[in-house]
Amino acid sequence: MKRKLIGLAVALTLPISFSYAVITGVTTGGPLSTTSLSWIAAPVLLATDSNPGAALTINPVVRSNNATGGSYFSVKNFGTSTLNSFTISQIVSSTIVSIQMCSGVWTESSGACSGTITTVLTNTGSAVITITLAPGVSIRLRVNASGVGRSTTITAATSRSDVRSQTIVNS
Amino acid sequence: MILSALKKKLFVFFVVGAAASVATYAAVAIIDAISYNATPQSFSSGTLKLTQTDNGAGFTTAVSGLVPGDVVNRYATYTNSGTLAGQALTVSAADGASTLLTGDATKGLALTVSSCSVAWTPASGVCGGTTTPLLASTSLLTLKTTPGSLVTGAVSAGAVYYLQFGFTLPAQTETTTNGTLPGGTIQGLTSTITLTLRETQRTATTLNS
Repeated sequence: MKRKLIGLAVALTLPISFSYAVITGVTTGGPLSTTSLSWIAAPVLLATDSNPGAALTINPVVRSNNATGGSYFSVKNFGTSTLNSFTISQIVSSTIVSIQMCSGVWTESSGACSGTITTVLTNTGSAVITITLAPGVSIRLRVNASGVGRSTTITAATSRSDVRSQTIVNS
Repeated sequence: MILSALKKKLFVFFVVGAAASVATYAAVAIIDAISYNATPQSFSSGTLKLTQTDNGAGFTTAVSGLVPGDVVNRYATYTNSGTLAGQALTVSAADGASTLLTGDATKGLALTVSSCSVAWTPASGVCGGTTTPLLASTSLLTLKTTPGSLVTGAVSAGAVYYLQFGFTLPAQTETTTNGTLPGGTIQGLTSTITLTLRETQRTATTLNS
């Protein structure tokens, strides 16, 4: 009891310190939704195919001396950004397998092109195809093989340089 | 016999003494003097308010379609609308659902803040007065944990800040092959960002007057 009283007396004689809160002014803006685009292309047999997430292997119909020969496939823009170009590559099992592009429209039953045919790739290698593909849009290409039993594995790749340049937007 | 008489005398002495002490205590009166101010002293506390107004699209119109290297400038006006001066104006960021846009210090969004002495023209990004950079490019990831300092000193009562917020998606290269996005991609992401500006009260003072 005596100790408690002494302790109480000492505590009461100590200086009393006050801690005080600081007033703050706060304001918030937003939420501001921000979304980035994607650049995604893939080779598919049909333009209606979903994104395969893989390369496409084709055993093309031999076209030599046969105007209706060849096999067709598409490279489709599965991203949200318009593509200005893409890179197509192929690895062939044996020469000669070429990939052709039509500036117009292919008639696949006859092999006719309403515009100009351009050979973009011959045998194993890669090439850049410069063409505008909006999201969901595809380009049809033809694979020609000069002999039976040949196959090609086709890859499509897109990089930052295949989409629009950077911009500064004020709004 | 003698002892008994002594006891009686002692008893009487104590009784009389006790009665006298009680009588003395009851007779003490306290005299005090009182003075008070005839006019009550008025005290009032100040207010510290920071208000924000969008200038142009502001923070409620979504930013979509970003590619690396893009810069999107948004504008807002801040007013220290209370009666108190403030100090140490800062900006911090928060996001609803974190993606790399707000979760990567290198690849994610970065913010710059500049002020103009007059209101910005949001459509053109033109400042008709004097431009002052307040915050160098800082990732939103950093601003989520460490507020960025905009004004270190005083923010006077009634002060107005016309601010430009520049959101930059840093330039970077990614290649997508056969429809498969690369790991840790910055593509196709969405973040919702809330920016908070905060000031504290001016330094407390002791006034003699």
